[in-house]
Amino acid sequence: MRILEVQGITVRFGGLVAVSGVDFHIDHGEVVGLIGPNGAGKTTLFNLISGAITPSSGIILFKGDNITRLKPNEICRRGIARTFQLVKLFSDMTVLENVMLSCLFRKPRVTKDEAAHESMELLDFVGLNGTESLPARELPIGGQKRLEVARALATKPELLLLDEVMAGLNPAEVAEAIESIKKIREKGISIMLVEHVMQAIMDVSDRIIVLHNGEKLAEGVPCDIASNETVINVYLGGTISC
Amino acid sequence: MNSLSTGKYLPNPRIPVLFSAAVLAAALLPLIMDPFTTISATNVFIYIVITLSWALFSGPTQYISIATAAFFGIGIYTSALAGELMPFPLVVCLGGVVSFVLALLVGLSTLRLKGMYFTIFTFGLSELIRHFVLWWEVVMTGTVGRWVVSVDPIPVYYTMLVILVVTISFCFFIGRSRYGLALRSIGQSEEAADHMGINITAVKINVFAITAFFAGATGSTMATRWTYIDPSIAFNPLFSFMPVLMAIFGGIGSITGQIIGAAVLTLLADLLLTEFPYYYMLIYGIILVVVILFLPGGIVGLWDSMKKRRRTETNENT
Repeated sequence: MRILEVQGITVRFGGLVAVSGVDFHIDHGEVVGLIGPNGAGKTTLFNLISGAITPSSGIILFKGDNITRLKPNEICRRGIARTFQLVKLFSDMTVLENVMLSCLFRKPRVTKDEAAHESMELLDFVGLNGTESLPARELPIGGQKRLEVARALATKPELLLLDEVMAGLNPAEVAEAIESIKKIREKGISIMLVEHVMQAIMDVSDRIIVLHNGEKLAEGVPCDIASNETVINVYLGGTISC
Repeated sequence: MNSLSTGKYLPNPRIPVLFSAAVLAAALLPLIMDPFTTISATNVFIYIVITLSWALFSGPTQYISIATAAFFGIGIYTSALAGELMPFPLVVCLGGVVSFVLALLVGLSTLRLKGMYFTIFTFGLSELIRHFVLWWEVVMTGTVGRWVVSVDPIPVYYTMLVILVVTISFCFFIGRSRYGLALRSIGQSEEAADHMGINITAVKINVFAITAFFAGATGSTMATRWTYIDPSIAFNPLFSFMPVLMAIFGGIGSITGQIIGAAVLTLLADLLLTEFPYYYMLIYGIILVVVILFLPGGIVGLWDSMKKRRRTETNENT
């Protein structure tokens, strides 16, 4: 059963074609990795799915419904949440308020106490317990990335788009992040993630899609991707274990 | 769950008591004070209402609007046109509604603009309306000014008191509701707020329009005291700039700060105008410059930092 289906999606910025005729799908409960060199169009693809930009052509189906021209808040309410590569927290609001906001604008409505309670559990889940009354800007970068994940989870998504949540983390934090992703998946949430930490993406993904110059270069299980000649040439630069 | 995490969302029990006492005192004021004090207090109420309504939207969202004069002036003209047709309370409500509708239309067309572009547009809009009304009066009605049906100072005072109480309560409850959080999130990252399922366009336009309602109702009320109006009185740009200054002066992030800022600056202007008519604007300007340079958090910010300093001193002593 497919949760997301992207058909022939193309977007042009003036003369530049950022994403060109990309097709792919995500199954229910699947973790799909998206890799490729800088400028390949990974974040643009996320922006298309989340509604931040509208495609020049092509369609996006979520659970069979066409969501191509919906606004980000409509797409979010249907069940797609995301994090941002460059964190976009509500930096003067407290850590708790950042998460509560997502709970409070969900349907069906929850009370403030329920939202606070649930937010505390989510902060616990991502390992931010004890920081709830700090302004979000005072968290270190690793904490800010975790807060982005908690805030996205608070919208109760069925599909979660993670844009480089591991960038800038130390190896111990990367290991924790991998565990968190596996736990999120156990909740029944499908995940698509962009990442440059190869070991992590090989470890958590069921399937990997490689983008290059806005086009889909390859797609397959991690081991096939790791040994694919073209992928090694344009992106990996050498063989990696899987 | 500790009290820290949820306690912040429960109102301080002292607030309703203090607020009720203040409202009661204000209601008794015309009975015990002379007419001059009543008129002066009415004037303070006007500025508190337009400051609160400006800051409710522009404070958290950082969409700095300088269109208050447009909404205020629309209320004034509604009063001039409808004053003879219906009873005074209805005129006041109608002034609010007309401003609300205008703000909805403005919001739909301008709230996509960001930062400076939004600010300049709101200013341009007030000027456009002023010149349009002037053109209309000269070309279509063949006059410049209008007479407004006069209402006594006491009913005007009580009407302003009602508008004030409604505005303060509204700001208080919005600030504590999910919309208060949403407005702040819009000011900090509109894109992220949109991605968290908040219909940012609807939140912005509705709150902007409601704040215009308060400004419009205030304009309709005040017009009855002025009796003669023309476009340059009704759409005086000072009504756009004063709320911004007053909110910054008192402390833009708190309702108490906005109320104090509006009250202090209004009374100060009255005092300077009567005591030093020649140096009034000079002294007023210097005070504003000093506050903006040295008190970034306004009067309330100064109070908070003094409290913090006292607390650290007592901690060190014990």
